[in-house]
Amino acid sequence: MKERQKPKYDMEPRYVLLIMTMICIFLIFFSYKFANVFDVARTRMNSFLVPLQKGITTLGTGINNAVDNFEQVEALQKEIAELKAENDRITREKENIEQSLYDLERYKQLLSLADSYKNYTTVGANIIAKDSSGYYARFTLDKGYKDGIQVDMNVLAGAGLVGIITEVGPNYSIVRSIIDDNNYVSAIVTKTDDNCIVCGNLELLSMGYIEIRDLSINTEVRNNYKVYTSPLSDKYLPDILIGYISNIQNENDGLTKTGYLTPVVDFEHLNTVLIITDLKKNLTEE
Amino acid sequence: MVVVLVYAVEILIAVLLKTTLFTHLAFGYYNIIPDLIVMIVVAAAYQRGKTKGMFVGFFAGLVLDIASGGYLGVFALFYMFLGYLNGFLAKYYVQNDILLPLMMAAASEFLFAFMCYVFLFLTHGRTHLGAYILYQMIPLAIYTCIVFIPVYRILDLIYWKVTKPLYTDYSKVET
Repeated sequence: MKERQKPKYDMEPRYVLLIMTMICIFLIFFSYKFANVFDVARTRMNSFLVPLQKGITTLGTGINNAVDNFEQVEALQKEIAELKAENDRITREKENIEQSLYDLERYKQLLSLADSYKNYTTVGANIIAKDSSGYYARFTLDKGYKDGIQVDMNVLAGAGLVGIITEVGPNYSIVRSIIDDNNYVSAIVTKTDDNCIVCGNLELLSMGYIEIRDLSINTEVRNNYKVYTSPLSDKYLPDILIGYISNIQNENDGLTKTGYLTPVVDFEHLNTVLIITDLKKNLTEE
Repeated sequence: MVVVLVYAVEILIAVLLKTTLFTHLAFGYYNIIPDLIVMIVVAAAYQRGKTKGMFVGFFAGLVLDIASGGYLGVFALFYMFLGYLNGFLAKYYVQNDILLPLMMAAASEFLFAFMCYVFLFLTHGRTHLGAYILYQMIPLAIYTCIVFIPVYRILDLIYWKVTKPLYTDYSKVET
């Protein structure tokens, strides 16, 4: 009873620990249950952090680029020569393809097929910070709701899927990538049209793979088949390339097959991404 | 007041560096990034005891929670426990000693990685503990140790030059 007269900072550390632990558990519970209330505080704090992160990242990439420039001159000259040769080849191919496209268009009209490939509108964005914890494969982009970004927009790099936007502030947004251990994408395999689930797996990442599961046991999927996002998914837009299958094997339950997937996106050297500003739910409503 | 300000700046710099520049130092896909926050928490607990180590850990974890977009309070809880546990060794504090804090940092980083595994991965069915120890926890602890040596020198210097004189008596009482 007499302990109450003591000033606060003389409290026994273990009691402080107990109180603080309860505060933490309380915080975890409430941020899980009432995410909206905490979003205000979170956005405030992040709006303060983001300009600083932007500055440091610009500086860092600047130094990185300066060092790289020295190393790369010779390699680049070689690459230019190769690219020129490739350009000639591609120009020839393009003419062939244009011809086939014209044919395709005609067949489509004949079959009165709806145009399945939508031209998505995209916005470019820079990565200014990668996951601060090291345990989530998430990163921060320099565009926010002021630039028209919304939660659940898909993020691409090159031809492949990078991830999905999970949080948006005025001048930043946070992307959870497909290699995140918590991320699941429903996907479809070309040629066989099998449905499956693609999920990140921290264990396989060292080999450059993520996981693919829930393939039907009867499927005839082979290695190197392409995997696209499925029209079934309620957040991911259809027909975006995710990666290539490898190492398919039967699951112990005898009902499904699992395998590895090599993502087309090089997550290790990712600097800029494209955000698709069309949302899946809007597209399906149309 | 000065102490609070110094720790606020330290935590802010740590979170900013960890999210930006240090990602260039990461090993491969695994995000093996030296953990500046563990270093600050270990140093604070070692120099100032359980209660203060706990508070530094709590606020550092909270900032990290906010910046990383997970549930609020998870990392705050982890770092707070690290601050408390490291505080037990505060009575052995000697200026310029590097060996004990280095071991503390290694053990703390390992423990932190283990807590992350239990609460963030085991909870959704990742049971291969061996792989996590081998590819995540051990490299993380080693990398943190290497970076800890110069960082701790700076933190100890800050402790003596900037904040120590104000709290000389108090630190005696606490140990």
